[in-house]
Amino acid sequence: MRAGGRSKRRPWRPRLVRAWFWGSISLLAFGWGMYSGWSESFPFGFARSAVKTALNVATPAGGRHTYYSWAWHPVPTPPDSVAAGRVRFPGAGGGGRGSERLGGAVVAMGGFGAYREHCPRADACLAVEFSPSGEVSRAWPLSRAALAAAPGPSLGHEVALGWDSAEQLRVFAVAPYEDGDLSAVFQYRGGHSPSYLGVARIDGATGQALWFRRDYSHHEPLVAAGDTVWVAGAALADGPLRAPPFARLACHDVVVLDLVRAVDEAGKLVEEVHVLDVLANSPWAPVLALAPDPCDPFHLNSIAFVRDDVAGLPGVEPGDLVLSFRNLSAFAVVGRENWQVKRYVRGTFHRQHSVLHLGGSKFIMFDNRQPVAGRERRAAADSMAGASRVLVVDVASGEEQVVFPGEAAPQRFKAWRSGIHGKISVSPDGTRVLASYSVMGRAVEIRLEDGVVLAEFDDVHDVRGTLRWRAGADVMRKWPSRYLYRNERRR
Amino acid sequence: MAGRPDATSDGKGRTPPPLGRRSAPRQWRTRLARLWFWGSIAALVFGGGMYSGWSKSFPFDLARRAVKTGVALWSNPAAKLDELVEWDVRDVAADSLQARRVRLAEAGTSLGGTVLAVGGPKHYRERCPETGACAAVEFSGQGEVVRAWPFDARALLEAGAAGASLGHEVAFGVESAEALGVMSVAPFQNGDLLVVLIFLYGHYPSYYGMARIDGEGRALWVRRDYSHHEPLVATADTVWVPGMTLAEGPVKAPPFVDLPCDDVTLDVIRAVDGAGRIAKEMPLLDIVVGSRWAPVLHRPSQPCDPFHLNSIAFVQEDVSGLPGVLPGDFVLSLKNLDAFAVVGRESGELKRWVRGSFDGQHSVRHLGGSKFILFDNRFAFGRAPPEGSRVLIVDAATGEETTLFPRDLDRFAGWHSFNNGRISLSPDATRVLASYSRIGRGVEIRLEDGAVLAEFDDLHDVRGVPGPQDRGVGRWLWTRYLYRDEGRQ
Repeated sequence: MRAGGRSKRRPWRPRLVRAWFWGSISLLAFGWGMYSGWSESFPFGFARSAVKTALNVATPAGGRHTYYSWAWHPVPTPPDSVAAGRVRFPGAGGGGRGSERLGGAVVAMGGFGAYREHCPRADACLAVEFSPSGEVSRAWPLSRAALAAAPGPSLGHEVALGWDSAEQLRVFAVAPYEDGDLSAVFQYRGGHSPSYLGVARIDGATGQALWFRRDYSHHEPLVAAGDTVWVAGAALADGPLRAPPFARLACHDVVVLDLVRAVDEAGKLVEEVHVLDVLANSPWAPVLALAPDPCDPFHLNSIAFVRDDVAGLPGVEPGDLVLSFRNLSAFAVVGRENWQVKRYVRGTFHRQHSVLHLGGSKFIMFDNRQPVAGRERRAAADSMAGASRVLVVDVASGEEQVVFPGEAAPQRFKAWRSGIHGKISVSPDGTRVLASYSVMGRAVEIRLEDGVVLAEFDDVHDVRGTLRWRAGADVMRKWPSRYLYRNERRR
Repeated sequence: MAGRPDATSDGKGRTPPPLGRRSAPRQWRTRLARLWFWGSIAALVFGGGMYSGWSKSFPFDLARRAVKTGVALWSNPAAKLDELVEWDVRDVAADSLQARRVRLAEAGTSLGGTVLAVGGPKHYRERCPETGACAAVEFSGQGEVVRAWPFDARALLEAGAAGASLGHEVAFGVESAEALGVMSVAPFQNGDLLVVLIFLYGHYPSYYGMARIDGEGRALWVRRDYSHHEPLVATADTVWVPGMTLAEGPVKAPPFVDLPCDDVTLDVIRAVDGAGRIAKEMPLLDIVVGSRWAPVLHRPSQPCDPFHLNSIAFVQEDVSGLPGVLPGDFVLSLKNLDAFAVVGRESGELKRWVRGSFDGQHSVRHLGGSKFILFDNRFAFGRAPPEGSRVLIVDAATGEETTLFPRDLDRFAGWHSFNNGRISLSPDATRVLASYSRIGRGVEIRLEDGAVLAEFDDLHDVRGVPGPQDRGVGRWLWTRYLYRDEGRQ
């Protein structure tokens, strides 16, 4: 053998060994990464946080998510016609106002950029009130600075780099006090975790915040006797979470656990109960075994009371609480004193909001019927089968009745859909219902007896002079919309 | 023309290090650079793997199959041939078996009818010595074994098929004849037996199909069609049984149905005539999608097996309080939706969708009026619920629920069957047989007051069966008992 022959053959061997070695390392690294991603185990949590942070850093804060640009849709209407178009009575020739009247004064939730003509000196119009004839008769201004300075407990938020908390603030729901003050729930739009912020009491005359609990209170507040506010709360826990024998929440992120919370007129906490405890100690505990969304198993979105005229539901008493759990597509009737689950009701409704007791054994709700996500959403949108509806459920018999849109309703209402949000409010005399199709920025007042549309609401606003106006639109429709009777029937 | 650089100088008067060695700083830098490079590659590869695992995208599926195969090889399913799968071996004298299998609460009484006990491999070997296993035996009212149907797995596997044969993936080294078991049975009027077969291990899917066997255990026909769970023999020997099809997911049917799973099991209602020919098939997905309850299939908790249809029964003649529900309509138990449904027999219309506090239930039967009875497993994680599994009566008109059994929680502590389970009503519909399958026990109770009239223990002489547990007596943990002439099917 030649001396050089060996040296020519040798180089490929160490290279092969090296390639083999690094290939194996890569394979192992890939396999470990795959396992980590599949099982969401270490270091997946770090990676997810890093990606989240990177995306937040890469996204121009405020560029896409200011209150002027988020959730507003252009409407081809002259700004002068905005006021006339906000409330329409169909019987009066489509837009005019005749002898028709609403079933009571109606409070429309506002927000930053909404109803500016009624709160010219304030940062925002928190809400306005429509008289029964459909004119704006009152407005609740909001001072951002006063809100920031309001006293009250405060839980922290994670804030993405560059996001301005003040800019991200949004009004989520309102409810009036007897004296004209307003209970308002606030959330963040983007860049904050959790998005829930808290509940405040706003002085009806000055717009000053009397107190502000930044305690993750969320969804619809309910002002009860003695000015006690009932509102959904939230506690955060690290997942996964187990409460044997049934509850297993396989969430590898933060689990949002809802609370039923009562706050007195001065903003002090009166009572607070974990929904998890309430359900886990009930015969319906197995529903927690495989919650469809283990990171937000309940999504408590409304609290209401059982009325005095309850009947046909043995064990259920006036004053019991009615809790709507969107992510379980169910609602529960819970004893006010002992927190015992007395009824757990499921039906054909799907991801509902705003469940209220109508009387007897009947309950009314906004049945969102949230359609599938992804590419199929468009096909779903073309299908009227998925339209949202106002549903009455008889808990004693299980019977369900679609109040709106009924068979006789005009065809256009049968395509109305609000996959998320939504609100129901019953008129003081119990004969009419306001149904807010929040995502569409629309609402209807209907007669409970036969579902006939008595009035239509359109959440349109003159946005000239705002950031959005600079983008080319004069009139825009905002969402989410929420309308409620000033003296809605609460119990 | 410039000459070649001097190997002994860098041109600036500095002497380079000897060949093959670099200066210490350069070596350190080179190593760091190399480490940095390969570390970055490894991090990228790791990140790619993590994304693949998280998003279930390529090559995750290949890896999952590889791991599945690896685990199958590692666990050596062939070794299970020598073990007692799904058995609890007991220290019980083999000669006391007969007395322990059926115990009447009071001497001199009798069962509410003759009772069939589901068998399988190594079951009741003393009654079926020629095959070493009985597919089922029949207990007289006094609890004596009066009849047996031999079980010959190999003959069943080799018998000619009625209809197309659907295939199975089989793990290495597993012999199908050894792995075949009996899931459930139902008697024909002439003494033949409908046997639903399942692979106890090493096969995918585990459901095999069904066979009609005569009194000698001979297969009259076999359908290898993934039929599963409880069969029901109706008039004119028509067999109603849950069937199954496999579909590639994700399955979406707007506006609501969304099943995010790669391999979806979709149940069907299947009717077969006495000769094993398909008489009718109704896909459950179509029934639910066409109904107002379609939203229940919007990302359900178990998208790969959204229904898990485990029993089919009929609405009885004395139905009342349920407008639109007619005698003869189907009563379908859907375990993975914790619900049962009433479906029009001819129209396929979904008429009622009933949910309550029951969880993972089996064997829903119409009791009359608007009441239904079911075996409420109460599936639980980690530990059994204090009240175990229940025999529950549900009024579908009012939602009212009544626990029929157990009422003595101390005496029946630990009676929990997290899956399986069966309910059977006596011919006169005054008694109920409840099978607590996963603890190998059964109980006959009076429907009126829940009083316990008899207890069953699924014990078998397994002496001589190879394996480390050769201690004499084994309790079968997939127990099912039913009355020979069941009422209210």
